[in-house]
Amino acid sequence: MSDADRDAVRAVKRGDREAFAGLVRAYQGRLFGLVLMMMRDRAAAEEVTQDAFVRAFTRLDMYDERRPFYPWIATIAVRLAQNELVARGRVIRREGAPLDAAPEPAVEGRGQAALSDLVDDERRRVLWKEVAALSSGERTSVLLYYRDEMPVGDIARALGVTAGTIKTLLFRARRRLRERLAAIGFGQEHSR
Amino acid sequence: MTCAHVLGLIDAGPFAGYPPEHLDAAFDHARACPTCGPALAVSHAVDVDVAALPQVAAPPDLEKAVMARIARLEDPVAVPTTDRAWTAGAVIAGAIAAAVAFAIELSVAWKWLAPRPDTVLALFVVSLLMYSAGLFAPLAGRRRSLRED
Repeated sequence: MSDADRDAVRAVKRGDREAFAGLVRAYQGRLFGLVLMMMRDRAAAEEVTQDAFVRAFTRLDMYDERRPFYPWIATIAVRLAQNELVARGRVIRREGAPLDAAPEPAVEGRGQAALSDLVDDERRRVLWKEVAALSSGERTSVLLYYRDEMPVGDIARALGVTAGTIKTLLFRARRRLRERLAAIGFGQEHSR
Repeated sequence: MTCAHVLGLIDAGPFAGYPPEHLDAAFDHARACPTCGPALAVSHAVDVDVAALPQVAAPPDLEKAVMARIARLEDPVAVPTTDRAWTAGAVIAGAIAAAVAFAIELSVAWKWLAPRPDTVLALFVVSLLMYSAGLFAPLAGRRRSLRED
């Protein structure tokens, strides 16, 4: 945990609400991006991100200051997003559609469009789309491991599964990305 | 060493559970192989580029919204007093309704009273409505507080 984060958390515990605003500013983009990639729905992602910060604030006394702050709040956000996705699955099941056919929010929906808009480089835009097309577990694991640099153990805790499951998800994701991207000539410039 | 095995090792990345010399041999094979070579290049590119994917900009008012919700949590005045009064009133009404219904039932059963059937029916309906209101009021209050959380 960075000294700034530790100081902020201690200040919040002493009642300094503005210090928590600093933590929100520091991590909102990273956390929102993660939740958006999980949920693929901008409005839902915003709601869950807010919920995660509010829950972190109310449970700050349970936070271990020796550990980094981001994995802790990411765990909260991931679980809230999972609950929301499960609730959506239940609604779809109640309405009679088979769960396997339950559409996640459309890949070409607002969330995806927002992500693609960020990327002016066509090559990365392609990569974003392929990452977004992975299963929810694979997608979340890839982002937490590669982009957020969280250890496998922390990702496993966040997703409520074993470290072995995370390794399997990462293996499948890497294979899927490799196969899809190889088919369109991605990465050839790295081999030259 | 087959290409299928080497491709598996490429996909396993840092989690390939083999001794270093085995992995070195596999990657030597990959670099010289027309099937595994491109796969190794793509896999490397994916590792590098996923790590470098840009952060998403959070919605501009997210921080403000979070801090407003936290302020409401810490400020009990934020919960409308009319809501709390309504909930408490409904619970009391439900309790009174249950007591009245019970007393009427006992009186009729022990023949202390002989009310007309339509009076009994009207009392029963009114009591049932009050009881229902008292029964569901706490749930309504809980839903409101969850929305505010």
